[in-house]
Amino acid sequence: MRIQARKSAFRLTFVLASLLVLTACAAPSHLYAANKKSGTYFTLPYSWKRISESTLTKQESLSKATGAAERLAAVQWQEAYSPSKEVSAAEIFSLKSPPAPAVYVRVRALTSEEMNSVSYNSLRDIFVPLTSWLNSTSDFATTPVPMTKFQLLGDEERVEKGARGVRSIFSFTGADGIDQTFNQTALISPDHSIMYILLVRARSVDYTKSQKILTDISNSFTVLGAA
Amino acid sequence: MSSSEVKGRIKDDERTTRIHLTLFDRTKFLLLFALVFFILVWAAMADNPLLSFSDAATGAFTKRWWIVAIAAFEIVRQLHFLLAELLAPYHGVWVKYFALVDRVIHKLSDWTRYRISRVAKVLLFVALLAVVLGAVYKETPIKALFLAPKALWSALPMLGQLLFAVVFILIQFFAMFWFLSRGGIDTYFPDDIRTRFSDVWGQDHVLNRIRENLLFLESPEKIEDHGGYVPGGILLWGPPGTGKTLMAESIAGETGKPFVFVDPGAFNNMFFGVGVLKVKSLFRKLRKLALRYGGVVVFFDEADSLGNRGISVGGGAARSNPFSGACHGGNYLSSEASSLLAREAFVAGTAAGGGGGGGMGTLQALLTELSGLKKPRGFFNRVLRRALGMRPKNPPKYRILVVMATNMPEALDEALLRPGRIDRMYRVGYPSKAGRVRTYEGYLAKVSHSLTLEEIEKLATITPYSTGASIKDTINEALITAIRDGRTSIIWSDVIKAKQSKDLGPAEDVEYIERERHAVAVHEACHGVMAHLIRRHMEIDLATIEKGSDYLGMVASIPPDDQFTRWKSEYEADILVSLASLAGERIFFNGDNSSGVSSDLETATTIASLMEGHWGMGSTISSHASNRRFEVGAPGGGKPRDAKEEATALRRALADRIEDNLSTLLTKAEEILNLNRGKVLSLAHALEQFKTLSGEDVEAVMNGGRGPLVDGAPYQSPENIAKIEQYHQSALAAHLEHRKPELSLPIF
Repeated sequence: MRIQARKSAFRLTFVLASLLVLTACAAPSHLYAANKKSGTYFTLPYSWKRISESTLTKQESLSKATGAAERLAAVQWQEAYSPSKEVSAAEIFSLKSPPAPAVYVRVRALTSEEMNSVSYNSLRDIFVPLTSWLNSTSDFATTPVPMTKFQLLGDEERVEKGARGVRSIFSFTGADGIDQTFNQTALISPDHSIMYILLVRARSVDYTKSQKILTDISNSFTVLGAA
Repeated sequence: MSSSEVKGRIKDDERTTRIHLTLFDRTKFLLLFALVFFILVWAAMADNPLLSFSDAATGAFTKRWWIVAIAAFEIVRQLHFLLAELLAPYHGVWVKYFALVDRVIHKLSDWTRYRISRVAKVLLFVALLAVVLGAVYKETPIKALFLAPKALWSALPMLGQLLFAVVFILIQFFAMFWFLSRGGIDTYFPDDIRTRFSDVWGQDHVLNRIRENLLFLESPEKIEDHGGYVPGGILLWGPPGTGKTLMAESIAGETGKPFVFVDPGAFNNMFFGVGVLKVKSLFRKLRKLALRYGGVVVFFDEADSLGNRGISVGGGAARSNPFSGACHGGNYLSSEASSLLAREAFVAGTAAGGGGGGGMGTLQALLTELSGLKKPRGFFNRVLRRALGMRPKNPPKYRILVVMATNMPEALDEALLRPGRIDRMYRVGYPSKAGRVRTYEGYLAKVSHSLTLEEIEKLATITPYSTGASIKDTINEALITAIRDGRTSIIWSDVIKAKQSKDLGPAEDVEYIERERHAVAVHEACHGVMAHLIRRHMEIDLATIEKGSDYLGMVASIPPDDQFTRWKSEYEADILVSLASLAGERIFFNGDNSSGVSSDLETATTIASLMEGHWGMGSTISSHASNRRFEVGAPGGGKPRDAKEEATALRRALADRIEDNLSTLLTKAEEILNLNRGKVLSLAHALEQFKTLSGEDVEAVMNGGRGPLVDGAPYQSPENIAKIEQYHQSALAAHLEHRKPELSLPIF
């Protein structure tokens, strides 16, 4: 009886010990970007590097655009990720094609004016005047946001638990002449007070190369809404 | 099954390996850590809907590395235990190591170790609290520790209200119990009390023993190094006023250890359980003091108040005087006879049950605490160490000297008196003559007096059963008498007056009518003459016919020496003195006798019964005490002296034999009184004339000498005796006819 007990004790100890050791050796498979307060989550490959919120805020504060300071003050969470260290905060806020794929997430409260005027189209136009590009055949090479070779790759409605909006995937050639692809998800909370944005972008060459990874990142975007 | 097959549990020091742990004990902490780990994983997954189990586990692993570290330590510990269970040499090394550590640690005093462990426990608790609070506040542990009181303070009003609402009744109970469990226990530290052994007089033999106990308490190594132990309990028992409490006070004064005084009423409580709480808190305090000061003395005054469940101590303790009635029989008996009578009355009447005292578990709690001092105690020591698979440490040696005092040892519980609880029982009896002399000297030294050493010795002789308290009282009474007479210094007559007023109580100032006065005088004279003629082990102290509150007159006797054995001849003399009143009344009043002899007869019968049934002073040998216990009945007549008697003797019942013995002695008393008729009438005359006579005066009347009050010479003259006889006849006639005697008392 006692010997049996001793054997089982041995076994149990061994199992527990090996479990602990194995878990200790393994590394996590993903990077989990999360903002609990706004209930916003997505995952990225574990090896991706983060550009911190403070770096981005600092960069954004340099902007001279009208209402930039006001918009910055309303930001609840923003982070950026890239597999390469070459991507800097400046490149996140620029329409120049990034040297490596980049992911940018932003949760921001809307002003009362914005709340009244927000629509799926305004969400589509959050980074570039997408609706204009879609609905017009005129030349956009000399507009404030220069664009040639525009191509819409996808446009669908997204309904999350805590928000709804649109996801648009499109490619275009910007001022630098390099073709890049945007996979942008812009959602709005049911009371129109908060906007959730996830932008996955890369040079079109890189996007095609890493399409699965980048699509997975975009698909993992989950908004539960503020708790 | 042969005896060699029966194996007992291996003794601790014979074991070469560690005791095997059960599977649960071996794994419980690992299971606990695993559980905590999975809870953490679950919490992380609940936090992030995207998180996979494996990533959550990995995250928990890296973030909460300390739990892994503790688990790893636990595994190492269990491996160590396992090796110690399997490999004797490995276990041996550790046993030796721990013995070494133990030796090193024990170089510190018990008290220091106690304080250090207390500090360590507090620090551990604070550290754990800090970590937990740190996790709660998401701050560094140290900072969280300061945040917590702030939060508590701000939440206090609301908490207080909640608490008040929820535990309103409980608060009342707690407060009540807390207040009720206060008091009754006083602690004195060395030098708080000034009484010393030199202030206790007349009990040197007991003091010497107590001094020995204290010596062992002060330097326990004297006995412990040789394998013994310090006796932990002393019972002081004896009559009231013999100095038990004073002795305890002197222990407090003499010892260099704290002294805890427990009030007799400390354990009497309204509610069940408070007494138990008190006992527990008392002993907690005692253990602490014992550690702090290396020993402690605790004194339970009037220990009989602790309650009892039966009669335990053999031998008598209290000298009480149960007598009252016409003739104060108890006073002419020796103390032993009186004491025995008291005991007989006690057993027959009042003391059948036990009861009283603290009750409600208090006594049981006390018993447990007294014998439970050597058990491991404390939450950390017992619960925590056991949970960690370690054996609890034995407690340090608490050197607690328990002193109890009582004048009713029969009322103490038997279990309280067993060795280990009360190791030594000392009788604090009446002081010996030398002790009384010392006590008188002590108290007289405090006042102004003109008593010589001889007088003090005489005083000690004539006050045989006096105690420290009664001696103190007598001297004080003498001083009051002296002051009343306008003096400040005590003289011999003051002491004698004080003694008599204490012995007899205040006279009632009742004037007997003449014929009754004569009857009482004859009654007492019969006792006196009989005592003078045949009793050698006692001397007459005084004879009186002054009526007291509970007697008509009395002949009081004292033993000339301290005597500890009693003889058949002495008891027979006692019975003769008792029966003298009945014999005398019948002789002098023509066969009539008064009811005043009732207590004399009771006394005589009791002594005769004990002689016949208990002391082997009758015609049988067997003890009635045993016969009664075994319910075999009393034996019949004794062993016949010859064949003729054997043929004729009827076996008689015990009561018949007692009656026969008493009849024989009554006849003998009548013979003696008839032969000394003149002496009886002379003593009666002197009593009628002077009301109260001292022993010397009685002697003077008997022998024609001169006493302090009476000149005995006239009683030697036949003419005077004839006059007294005439007066008696006149009083007898008056007695029969219920009228005033024709002759008045002749005066010489």
